[in-house]
Amino acid sequence: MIELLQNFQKGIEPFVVPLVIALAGLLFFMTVFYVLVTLFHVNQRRRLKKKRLSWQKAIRKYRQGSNPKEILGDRDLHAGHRDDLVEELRLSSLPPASKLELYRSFGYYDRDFSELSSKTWWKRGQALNRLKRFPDSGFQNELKSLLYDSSHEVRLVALDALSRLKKVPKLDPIELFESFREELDSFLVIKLLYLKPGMRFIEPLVNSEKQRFRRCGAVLMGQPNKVSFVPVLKKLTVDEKVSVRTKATESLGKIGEKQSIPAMERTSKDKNPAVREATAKSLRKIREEGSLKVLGKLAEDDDFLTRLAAFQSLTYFGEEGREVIGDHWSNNRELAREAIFESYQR
Amino acid sequence: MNISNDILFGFVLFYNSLVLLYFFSINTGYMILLALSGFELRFHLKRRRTTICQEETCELAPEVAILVPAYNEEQTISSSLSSLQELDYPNLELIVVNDGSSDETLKEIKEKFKLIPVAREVEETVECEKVKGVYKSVSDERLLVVDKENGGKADALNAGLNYSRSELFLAIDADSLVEKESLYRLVEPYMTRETNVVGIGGIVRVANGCRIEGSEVKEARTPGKLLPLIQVMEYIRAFLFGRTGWSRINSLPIISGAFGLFKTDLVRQIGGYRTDTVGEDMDLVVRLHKHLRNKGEDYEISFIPDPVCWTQVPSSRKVLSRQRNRWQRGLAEALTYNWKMIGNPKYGSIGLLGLPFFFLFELLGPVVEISGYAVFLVSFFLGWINLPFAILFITLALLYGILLSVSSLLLEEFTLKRYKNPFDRVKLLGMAFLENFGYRQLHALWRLKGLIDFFRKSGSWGEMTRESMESKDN
Repeated sequence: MIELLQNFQKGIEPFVVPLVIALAGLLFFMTVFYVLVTLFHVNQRRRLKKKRLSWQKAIRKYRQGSNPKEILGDRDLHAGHRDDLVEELRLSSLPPASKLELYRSFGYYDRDFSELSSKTWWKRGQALNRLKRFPDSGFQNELKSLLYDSSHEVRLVALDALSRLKKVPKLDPIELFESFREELDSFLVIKLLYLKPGMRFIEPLVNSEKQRFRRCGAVLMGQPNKVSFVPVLKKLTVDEKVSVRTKATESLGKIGEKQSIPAMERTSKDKNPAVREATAKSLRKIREEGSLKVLGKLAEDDDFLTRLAAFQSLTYFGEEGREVIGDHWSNNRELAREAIFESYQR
Repeated sequence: MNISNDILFGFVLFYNSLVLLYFFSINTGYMILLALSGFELRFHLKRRRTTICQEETCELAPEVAILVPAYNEEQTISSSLSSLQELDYPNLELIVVNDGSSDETLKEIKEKFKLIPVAREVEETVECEKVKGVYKSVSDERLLVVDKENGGKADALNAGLNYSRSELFLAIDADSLVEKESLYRLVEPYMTRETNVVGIGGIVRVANGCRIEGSEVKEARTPGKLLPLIQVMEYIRAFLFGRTGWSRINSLPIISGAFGLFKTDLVRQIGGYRTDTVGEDMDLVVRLHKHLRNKGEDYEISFIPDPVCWTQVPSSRKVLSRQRNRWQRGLAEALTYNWKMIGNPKYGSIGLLGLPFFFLFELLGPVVEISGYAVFLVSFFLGWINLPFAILFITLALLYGILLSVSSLLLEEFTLKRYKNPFDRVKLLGMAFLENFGYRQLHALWRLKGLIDFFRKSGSWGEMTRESMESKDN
């Protein structure tokens, strides 16, 4: 055994010296490299400031009618330069068309456009990230295909870019939702809500057999004052799936129309507490007498979270809300006390 | 040589071989981790940040409750709360849990934030000590203060969990300053990743020495004192290459208790934080892995390097040794409570890689290191050692240590670059070398003591001396 261990150590010995030399060499190289990088970065702030000033000067001259290329000469097409100019343009007060023209004049737009079909995912993503600052500048068709890109990161940027467009390309909502995993539904819905989608876009979702799509459709209809969505949402409040009924109820609240109250009265009796809770929360946005009645009933609900939401919503109704809170004081002292406090705070 | 000498010689030889094997395995492990961190950071930088929401759509962003357990934090609680109030996030709940402080913590918050007592009925889903009172702020409707009997940090967090009404919660320390944009950055992976993200950790950095104005870190600077300075190096190494690497293979066994975002319902489901351990943060993450792997769910527990939380680190040796002792006990407890997961293929990469690594190298590391020094001395005095080989071996160990630290600094330099001042960077480089001579050995001793205390079932949380964020060192 001892011999075996001695042989083991002897076996290692010849490797130790080269390893020490290799590591020492590597460490020396890395230390020198670190020092050089540090020295290089010392002036970075000054260099960045200088660069920013030169872009600002170009923008100023452009505003005065000069050709920016004459002022700055040909700048290279390095992605860093493009990022810098995009940032400066974002901060400037130039009209959108002028921003685009200036960006084009350096050849940056064409470069970004060609990079949209690059094989490297991050180049596609970064190019689109810059182009999204110039919405409706003619990359809609490319954007459509990038929404279904193989890289998840690129799809996210594409979604971000889509949400900035004024002219939305025709999209199949089912196909779009299917290209993302269910975990991303809430993010997707937030981005699509920027576009204020109409019934034509939402309809296939609402009529889908999959509850995931119906649920997303219900959320997308939660746009303030969009009264035309109310009848469809009312139908969804009797959907077989709880999540769809919940989201439909929430959206009715967001639209904030008086005509939703009868539907809310029905959802306040839903057998599932999540729907009743959503009803209690949504009614705070419909400041009508009818809402107070429903909230009063919900304040005596069996489910704690529903009662809590009802009392919270009553705090939005001022004096009338406080009266209803008072009516339900005896059974829910603590909730009522907190609600009264919050009501005065609002 | 007589028989007893033979046995001793055999043992020393065996032990030396064991240390050699251990040394090569640990360093290979660290090198792989370093490479993984490099890949992850590169990927993170290439990835474009997306805006979660803007104006009206922010209503749909997930609600986040910030839980701040506070025990004797009268010096730091106000600045910490002010920094939280300035956080850039739409749906926020701030819950401070005064864990039976014996100082004026509650009075300080009451006066500064104009608290009045309220009654909040809750469904107690997680057990915790008796709550004495609940207060709401007149000046900020998002702020809720729970005053409870002392039960420790984990118990305070459990009380906060009961009172939270948000989808996600962020656990932080009362002496921390969270950067304004951090919450958005933490929530972003939760909303945009393709997997079910259940926990996200951000980076914790050292506030000592930084220029702090009000409750905001205006300029990241390194501290003047040696001990905090070494800790700056340690934190960079631990977070940038340790956690980033583990996160890359979804085997992250710990998210710092000072800065971690979790799904509220899920944590309630597993019973909240464990109160009989000082390593409640690691235990929670390991139990989350266990729970979700048992259910066969697809999930992710992630670390992202750019949301920053600044914290004060101990500047005295005594306090630091207590803190490290506690961390080691916490590690031992978390691994003991979840020992069935170690090496168990049922738990995937966390069972086969993450936890065995933490057990072999983080938990047993100080034992091997200190006993290695002792066996070296014994062999040296008995003349059983090949001195040139031993010197080469020690040099190799030191070189590896320095190399890992310098690599972490390079990662920092090429990615986040938080320390702008060149003098600070040079100081950190100096620490990468210096910490290996004396501090590293001392640190191993503190950790060994922690392990001994764990076996003796002794030791407590330990007093942590707090200084105001506006102290001289800042």
